[in-house]
Amino acid sequence: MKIEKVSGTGSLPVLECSHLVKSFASRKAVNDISFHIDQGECYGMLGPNGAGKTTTISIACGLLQKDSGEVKVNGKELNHKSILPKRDIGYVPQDLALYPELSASDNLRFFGKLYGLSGRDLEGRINETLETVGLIDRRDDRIESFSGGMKRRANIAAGLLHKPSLLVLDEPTVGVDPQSRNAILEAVQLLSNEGMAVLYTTHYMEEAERLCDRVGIIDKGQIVAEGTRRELVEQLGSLDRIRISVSGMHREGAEVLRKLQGVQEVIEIGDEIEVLIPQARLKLPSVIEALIENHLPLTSLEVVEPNLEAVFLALTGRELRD
Amino acid sequence: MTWLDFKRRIRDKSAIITSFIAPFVLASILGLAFGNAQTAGLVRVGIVITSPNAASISIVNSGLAEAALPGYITIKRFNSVAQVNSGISNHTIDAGIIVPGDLGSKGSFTDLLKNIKDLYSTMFVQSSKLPDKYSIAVISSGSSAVPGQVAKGIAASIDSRIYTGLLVATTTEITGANQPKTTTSVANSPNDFLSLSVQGAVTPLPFTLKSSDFGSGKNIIGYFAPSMAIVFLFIGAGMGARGIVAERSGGTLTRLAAAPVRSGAVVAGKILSILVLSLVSVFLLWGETAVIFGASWGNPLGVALLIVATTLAMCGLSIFLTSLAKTEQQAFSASAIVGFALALLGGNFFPPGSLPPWMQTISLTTPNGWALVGFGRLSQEGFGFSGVLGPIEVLGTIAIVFGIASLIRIGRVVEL
Ligand SMILES: Nc1ncnc2c1ncn2[C@@H]1O[C@H](COP(=O)(O)OP(=O)(O)OP(=O)(O)O)[C@@H](O)[C@H]1O
Ligand SMILES: [Mg+2]
Repeated sequence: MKIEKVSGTGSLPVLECSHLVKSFASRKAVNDISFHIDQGECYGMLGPNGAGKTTTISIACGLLQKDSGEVKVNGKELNHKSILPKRDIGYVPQDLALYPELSASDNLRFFGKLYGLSGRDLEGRINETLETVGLIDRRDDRIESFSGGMKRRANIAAGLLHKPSLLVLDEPTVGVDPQSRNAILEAVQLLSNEGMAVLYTTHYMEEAERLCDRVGIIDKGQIVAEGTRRELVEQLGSLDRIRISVSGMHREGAEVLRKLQGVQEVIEIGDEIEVLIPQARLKLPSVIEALIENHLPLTSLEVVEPNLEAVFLALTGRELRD
Repeated sequence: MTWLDFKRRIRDKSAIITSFIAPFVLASILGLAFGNAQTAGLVRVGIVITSPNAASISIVNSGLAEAALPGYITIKRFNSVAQVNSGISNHTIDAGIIVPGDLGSKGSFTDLLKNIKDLYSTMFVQSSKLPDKYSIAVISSGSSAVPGQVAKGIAASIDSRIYTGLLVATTTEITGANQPKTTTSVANSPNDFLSLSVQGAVTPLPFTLKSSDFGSGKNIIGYFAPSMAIVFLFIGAGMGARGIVAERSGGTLTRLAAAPVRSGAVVAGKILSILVLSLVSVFLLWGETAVIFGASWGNPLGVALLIVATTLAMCGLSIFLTSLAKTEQQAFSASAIVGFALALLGGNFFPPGSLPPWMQTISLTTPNGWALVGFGRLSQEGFGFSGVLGPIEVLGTIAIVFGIASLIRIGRVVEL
């Protein structure tokens, strides 16, 4: 069952970045980046190494001084000197940022206090967040005794502690085992469903596809495309594929489908037929109808949409991962 | 912030060793190496005067006063030799001194003089049997050499009283200065002679005997303790500052920067926690050495002010040095090398007053040297607090200059 999202009230975006620019020496790491994230929305920032994801996030969280542009968190302007607006953000750095010699709960206590939590409130939140990331039974163990995946999860817990309205995760699953990775993705999904705005950077296309409501594809310091997966794919103009099996009668099948309106190409691959067609899902009824009318025994049918990897490739001429 | 940081640091074993254990251990070792009667813990000495009379009691008293016993030596008086012996076997005392109380009362002048001479050859017999009539005996359990040495020292002090008393008496006798009445009948009137010698014995000496057996033992710790504190202040503060560099590479600094806390507060918190830990460690060392060794660092106000000035100067310099390093490894080597170079040049490993003049000059180019001048004046020369204002001024200047420089540098480290 999919939990109904607490959708944005349509008023203020939780995070609004406009025309961010940041150079290191002569290199422009971030070159005029603008985007926004609404309440309950999970925004994915997808891009290869060195694209400028971490730099953008650092500016958005007020860690780094920007050259120009504007960041607003819940309508309040935020820069590297801000104090109060930072309370609304839960930042999970790309690299592990915990004290290895302290236990998980001591780490959370330390960072919780920095966000003004204390007493029973703090203790309660420590348990809740450790529960969320599935580390409650390792509560009092030192971070240095954790596995890599567990460290990552503890790292996320530290960003969640103060119930931020915006959770910012910088490649939280890099180098993480499948089990921990799944736990992380599920936790993020849950939080997003509960209404937290999430900024999620990754260079794993599957993660962005699974988690994010909207994706910004970033390359060389610029957002080269943005939108829901659907929108991106359409923007690219790539065609969906329908993969069809009609037991033994693929030749006849192909014949029939070629005549169908909107079909651009029909390829026979072994026993299967692949139909290239825009907006495949809308065309499914007519495809099925045509096959049945011609008494072709339809045994399986699959819609294959072009993925973000393909979008990225098309936009930049490069693979997402080097 | 400071408190959180402080708590985190004292959980770090190496910080504890550097700040609390190492200076104490090194001060004790150096103290033992350079001090004579240095002991770990109290030494209890029992003393008995066999058949005492007014004369022997006052000789013993002034002998004890002359010894200027430090706090870690306690004297218990007994009424019989048997009590002293059982005290030793029960471990209620560590050593005993038996003084023949009728000393000189029956002997002739020559008799006495002969016995006094013998005293030196016979007094250091370790035996539990009653000593010869005119010799002072020292008894010790034999399990530890230290209490026996301490008791021998005390006995020597009493003995020197008798001897100087005799000298004064004899001189008076021969020159006829003060006692014209007894000029001719010294040999025949031992009682008169005794009264003279007692008078001499209790009169303050015209010159001061340096009681090297005790004094240096106490004061050497009172000097080496702050000296070692100085060395480890530098290394400890370097470790603390290295923690800031480590937080940068460890990523936790980013998290601090993301938190709704001013970066100035982060820096101040870190530096303050280093200072607090440093101050606590030195004041604790002061207390420890006073309780355990009975060491005196000197005038308390002077010591307190000098500790603060020294801590600020050493921490300022060390934090600044660390903030210059590009990597943690570099910071580690730098603070170790510079720390020990400063200690060697500053004279931290040498006993007070033992530096040759040219090294003294060099030592004053280091904060260590100035701090040692201050602590030396307080513990060795008995200066009051006004005597260390000079060193405090120099150290304060160093603290201000490097403190400000450190703040700027560390502020830059914290900026991402
Ligand atoms: N502190 C810095 N000094 C100089 N150059 C920097 C600094 N931080 C980032 N850069 C440069 O800015 C560019 C963007 O870096 P950024 O870390 O934002 O990329 P990223 O998208 O997060 O990459 P990754 O996927 O590897 O984390 C890179 O070319 C990088 O070399
Ligand atoms: Mg990055």
